[in-house]
Amino acid sequence: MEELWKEFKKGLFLQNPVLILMVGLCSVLAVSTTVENAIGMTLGFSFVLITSELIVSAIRKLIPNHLRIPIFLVAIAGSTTVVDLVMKAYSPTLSKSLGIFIPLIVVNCIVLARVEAFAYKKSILVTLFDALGMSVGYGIAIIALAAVREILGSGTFLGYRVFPQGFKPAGIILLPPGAFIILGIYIAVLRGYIGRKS
Amino acid sequence: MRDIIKNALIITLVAIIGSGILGWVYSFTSPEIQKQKERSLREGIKTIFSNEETFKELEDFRDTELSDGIKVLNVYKVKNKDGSEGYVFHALFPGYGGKIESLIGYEDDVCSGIIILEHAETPGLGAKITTDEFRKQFVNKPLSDPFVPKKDVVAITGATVSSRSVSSAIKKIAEFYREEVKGGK
Repeated sequence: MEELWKEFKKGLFLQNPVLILMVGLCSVLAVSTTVENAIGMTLGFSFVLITSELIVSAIRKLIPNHLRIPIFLVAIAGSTTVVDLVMKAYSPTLSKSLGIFIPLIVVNCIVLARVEAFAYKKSILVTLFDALGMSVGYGIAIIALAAVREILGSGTFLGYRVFPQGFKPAGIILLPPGAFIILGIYIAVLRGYIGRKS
Repeated sequence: MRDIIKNALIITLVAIIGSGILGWVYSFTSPEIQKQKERSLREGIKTIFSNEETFKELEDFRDTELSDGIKVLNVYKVKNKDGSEGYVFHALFPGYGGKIESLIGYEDDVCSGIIILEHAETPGLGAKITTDEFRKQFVNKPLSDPFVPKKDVVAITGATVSSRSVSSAIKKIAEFYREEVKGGK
């Protein structure tokens, strides 16, 4: 039990995929303009990560070593396409605002990295906790980023107005430079905290 | 040699299983996706012509390229409840950050309104082309107007290019509407 908890917890902060490992930043910057998009992206990403990690872990003994990458890619691309189709069918507005970034989960390096470095070597149960931890860590980072960007950049939170009408939002926060600035602050704070602790 | 055959078999098997699952998911999502598309089209037409009773596509005008990179994807003829007729153009035209996809309605000699379906304009600036404030100035606007920002169109501050591309697309498609669609049929 302790080991499972450890695998889950490391994804949250110590090895947070966005803030510490810093992989897959492209889609993080692009969709974190509103909290709603960030939540949608987290759900899509988590589904892909969890299913492809579980599939690979389940059949890892059947995969010949030199064929592993193409087989990983089938699992990843397959689950991404499922997310894309389901989102288009049942949540078209979300699918429209996330646009190309859902299909692009396929090339999100964090998915392939987790499958290759973790799922291919570990048992299903441990893998599940790794995938869950990474997903929650991704969600924490992207939603925290989106919250600040939406509040300062549009003056709303989850679509509800938080500032009075006269508030003039800072447009730059919605552009990629704004995302980099806020992300930089988060990374600095988190690294500073981890550094002090150890 | 035997290795190659074995590997090929494994990869083929994986691919078949993968595509089988995808085919199964596709089989129940694709009718939904089709329905969603029709629904959003219907809603769009309803927003422009609130009196809409029925509409049908005029297939002769499907995928017509106009000048300046403007492309008319579909044309719909709309019958209103009061008997009047309007036309809705589903069109793509270049904006500041990429193609803008929109529905533009015309009736007699006026523009009835525009809806932006998809765009890649700058958030906070050009993206304001989707707001009611910007769009409502085109409702019931006579087609004889010049459709030039800062003249007869109120441009979005800091997004002259986006404002101009929307205005000139409405004007360009209006010419097509008057000369080909309405005049021809």
